Amino acid sequence: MKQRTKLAVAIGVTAAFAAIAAVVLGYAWGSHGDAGSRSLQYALMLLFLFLLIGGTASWVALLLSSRMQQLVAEARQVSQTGIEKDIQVGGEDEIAELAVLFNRVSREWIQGEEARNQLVSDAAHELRTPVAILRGHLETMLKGAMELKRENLVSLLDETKRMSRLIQELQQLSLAEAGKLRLDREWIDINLLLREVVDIFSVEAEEKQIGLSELDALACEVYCDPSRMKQTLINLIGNAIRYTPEGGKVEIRQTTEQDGHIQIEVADTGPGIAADKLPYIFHRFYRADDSRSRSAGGTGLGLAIAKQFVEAHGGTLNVASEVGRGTLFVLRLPVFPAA
Amino acid sequence: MNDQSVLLEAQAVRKIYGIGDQAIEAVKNVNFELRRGEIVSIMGPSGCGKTTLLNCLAGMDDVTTGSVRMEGIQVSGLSERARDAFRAKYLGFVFQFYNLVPVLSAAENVELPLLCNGIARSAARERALQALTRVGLRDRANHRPDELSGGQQQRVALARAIVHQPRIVFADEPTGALDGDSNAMVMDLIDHINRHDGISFVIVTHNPKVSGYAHRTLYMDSGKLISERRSAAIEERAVTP
Repeated sequence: MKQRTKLAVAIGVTAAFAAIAAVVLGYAWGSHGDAGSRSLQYALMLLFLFLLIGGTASWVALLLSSRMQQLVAEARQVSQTGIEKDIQVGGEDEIAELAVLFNRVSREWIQGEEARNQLVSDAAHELRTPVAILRGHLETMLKGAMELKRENLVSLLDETKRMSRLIQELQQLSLAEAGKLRLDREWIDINLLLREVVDIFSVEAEEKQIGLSELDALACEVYCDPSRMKQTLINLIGNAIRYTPEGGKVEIRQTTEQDGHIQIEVADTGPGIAADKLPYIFHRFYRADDSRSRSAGGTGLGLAIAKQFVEAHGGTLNVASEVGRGTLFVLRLPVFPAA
Repeated sequence: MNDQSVLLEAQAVRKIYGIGDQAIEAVKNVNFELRRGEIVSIMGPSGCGKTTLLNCLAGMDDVTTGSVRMEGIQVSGLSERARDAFRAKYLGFVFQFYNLVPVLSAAENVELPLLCNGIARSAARERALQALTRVGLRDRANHRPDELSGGQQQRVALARAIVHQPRIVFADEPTGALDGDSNAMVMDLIDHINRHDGISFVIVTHNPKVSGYAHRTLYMDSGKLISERRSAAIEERAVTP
């Protein structure tokens, strides 16, 4: 029962009881006695009614506020200790509802806090290696143990490039996750965009003797931000080539428009991703295979960014994989977005 | 814009409101030509007669003198009934404040021109859904206008204007009530529909960004067309299919 219903019932019952009591008392006392004793009777009657109403009201007030106090006490405990614990308040009134909402908010807050901590430690971890390499080289050069040669500088420059890319990607990701990614949409022939990206990787694919093919590509205009979509395709196709062994195959398929959506599939014949790791591959800094992560050159943000970019366009990015056979990414994009 | 033939031609159009000393000449001797697949915008200060000219060209208003011909038919000479039928079949309209029927869903609003043209309800619904898909609003087909944002309502209105594949869509300040982002979305859709369906657009606007989408922009003042500007970049793009 809602608090207001409880209050209304309590007031109604008290008033009815008081009215009945007044009628009964008035009837019992009203007919006899002189004027003096009658006014005493009236005064007593009023006092009785007053006590009756006051007593019931305070009882109801205590009853209602005890649950409120319980809620406050438990909420205080959670806020002071910061331990994730659900507040248990039974019933179906506003206080129970408040407890449910409090539990939800506190859970989200705690999860958010954990995610933030995780992000900071992940970012620190990712930056530590390039910074250590830079520092080591610079110190060695400073001591004169290593000559200041151009080729040494190249590797240092590579590390700083990696760091700036990481920072830039983190920025993009945080914007996208906050829903603040600015999209400059225009009509783009998605087939031309695909070809452009395939061209970027053709040399790399040739070096690794990977067959990179684009199938069923049909001209279709999509209203999207070309630079973000290009980045998404680069991340997906780049990943596919990176994880496909020499002599493997990467296939890109694009379907025609259906129900206002187009679909792009990127399939590789790489090692595949185990089912227990699959749900995490879109997480920041998650790598299905730690051993080759850094040597492969990725920042660990590529898939997270791809997914965020696609979702910002109102699309979806899904993955299917089988260990030993390969991985398939399916990108679905609305030709024109709803919002 | 492969076929450069003239679709709509207005000659010496005058429109006078009122009579005697009270008469106001809103449109003064205007000649106008719209080619197939062309987007023409009409700009000019408030009260210069832009909307009156649009209404005369679209056959919504009678011309006082002069003629409006479309595809060889003298629209200005038709009876009111014949003109209504002509409009329902060959023309589409987009207004500043969307003019959607508030009690109908988006799909029902888009169906209206088809039902007016005597198309069966089930076929009309399918085409309405296709039109809504094109403007990205298939998921909102059952939403009523008050459940949609301004930009979305205007896109429903655009779907309604093109669902029957008209020859020309007349748009009176189509982005006048929208913010910058929605404005660009609506105009990019118009651009896409123009290129893919070959539908011509006549757009009255105050907004230079909107007229930037037009192949030609006409400037109007005190009821007269005073100058014309062609967009070279767009002309070039429009010629290549």
